[in-house]
Amino acid sequence: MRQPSSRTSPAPGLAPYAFLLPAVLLWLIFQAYPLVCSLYLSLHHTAPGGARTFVGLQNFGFLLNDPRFWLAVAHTLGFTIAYLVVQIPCALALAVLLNHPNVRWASASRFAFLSTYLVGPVFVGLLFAQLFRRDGFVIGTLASMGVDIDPFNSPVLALPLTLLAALWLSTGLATTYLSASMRRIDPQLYDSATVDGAGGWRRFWHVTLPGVRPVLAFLLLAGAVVSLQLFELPYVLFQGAGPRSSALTIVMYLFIAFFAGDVGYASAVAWTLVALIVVVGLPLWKMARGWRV
Amino acid sequence: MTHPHRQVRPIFQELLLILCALLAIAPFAYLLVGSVRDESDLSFSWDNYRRILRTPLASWMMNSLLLASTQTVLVILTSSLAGFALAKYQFKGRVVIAGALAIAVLVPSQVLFPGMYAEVRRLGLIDSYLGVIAPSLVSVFGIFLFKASFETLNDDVLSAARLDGASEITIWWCIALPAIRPTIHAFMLMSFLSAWNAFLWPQIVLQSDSRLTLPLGLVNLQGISDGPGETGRLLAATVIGILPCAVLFILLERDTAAGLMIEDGSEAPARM
Repeated sequence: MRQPSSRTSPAPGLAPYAFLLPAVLLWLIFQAYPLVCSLYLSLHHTAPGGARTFVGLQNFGFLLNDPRFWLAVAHTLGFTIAYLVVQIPCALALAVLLNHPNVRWASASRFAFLSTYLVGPVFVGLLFAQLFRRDGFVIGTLASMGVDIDPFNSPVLALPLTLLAALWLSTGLATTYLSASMRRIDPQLYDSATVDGAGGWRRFWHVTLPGVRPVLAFLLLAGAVVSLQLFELPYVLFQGAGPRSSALTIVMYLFIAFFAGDVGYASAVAWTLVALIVVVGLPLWKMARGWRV
Repeated sequence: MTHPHRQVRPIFQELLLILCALLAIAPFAYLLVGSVRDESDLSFSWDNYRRILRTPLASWMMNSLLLASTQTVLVILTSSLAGFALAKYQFKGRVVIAGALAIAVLVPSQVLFPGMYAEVRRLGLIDSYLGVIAPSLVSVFGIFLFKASFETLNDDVLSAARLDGASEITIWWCIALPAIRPTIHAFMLMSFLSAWNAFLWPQIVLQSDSRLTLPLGLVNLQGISDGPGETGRLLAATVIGILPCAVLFILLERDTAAGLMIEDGSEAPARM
């Protein structure tokens, strides 16, 4: 009789399949299937009771003709651009400061920056809603200085307040990633740049920035994907879509359709969001890949 | 600039850094002070906490703890097993499975909600905790994180254990997992935070008041208590809501930093 296994690996044969089984099964049942199901539902009109009729692309047609949807798209895109344009340079600057030689308090600051990441969007929303309420600390202080604003009743300020809360929540984590990446840059690169007569700015452009490009690319892509799905922060801050719907986002629009019982329409919104994420994400991804050459 | 030559103490940079760090923690200070202050005369008082405990807060908290820890433990098990299989075995279908999962990373969870809702309803899981956690019991991101981490392990150690007669599952549990503790801790923190802070999906699935999680309960509470004089109570509730995450963070902080480094080791993030 032959021994069934070789000396080095006594029949791991079925082991990897068994190890993958729970994950793949759960993924098929709870992620792959709902994805297909959403696509199917998006082609149907669904009544709150569950009855559905095939309507082809009608949901998408209605969606593209709804000014409220375009309002949500404008808010979401505007937020995403502002978020990336402010967050990435701030995180870069903070990471450079953290890695500055001879700077005291660096590790305490690092801890302070990372700590905001602990607070989930719902809690940030609750906190900032209290912080910026009319009789609250910030607005009260501004009012005593003669600046009279109320972000909860002013359509112009709703998204900037959301942006401020989002930046507080996430800039610290971005800083932590960038700072860790900067610490792995070969110090010799800085030395030879200095020998070549490069000043602070040129060392930053030619050594630091190329060194952190993979992380930067990741932050850009992840930041865009996350902020295109903006929902909890404005929803909790304004307990809804904000003054005159000035904080209505795409996912909020989806959520409203969903709770109105129209699962088919919500699916159509969801797939439109995917298309938008691909349209925005693909160029960012390509740009990021180009950087790595 | 990361440059070792300058010896002058960079006063300006230092001040700027400290100012930014203070700005980062200022909302926490407001939160803590506001939560222990009597709103009429601004004196110190635990009253806000006493009042908040009269709401169903304690039971929301228990619900959240139960859900978040169950989900965290299970997602670590499923993702690390799958990551181990993809990292350390050669088998038919490996490339196909890894490829399919890599594409899946890009699908935002919101897209799944309508279809997931239809499915969960058909399975009779509406208003149940199983319905809340089922879609999060596997994390494709986690699978790739663990895969990247397991790939750094030396094959010889695993083969040696195999020669000693260890079964494959023993090798995973007793040798591979302990060797990547920082990754486990970093992923544990990430998973716990996302489960603890989950809002949209639990909001869709859960219906009865007694089963609400903390974020859902607090948002309801905010809705009914948004008058003047309620600030302290909401701040106290927010402190309680952040506390478990802060405790876990402090327990795992050192390993998390190391885990983040692995994750941010040039290749890993680009793969996500």
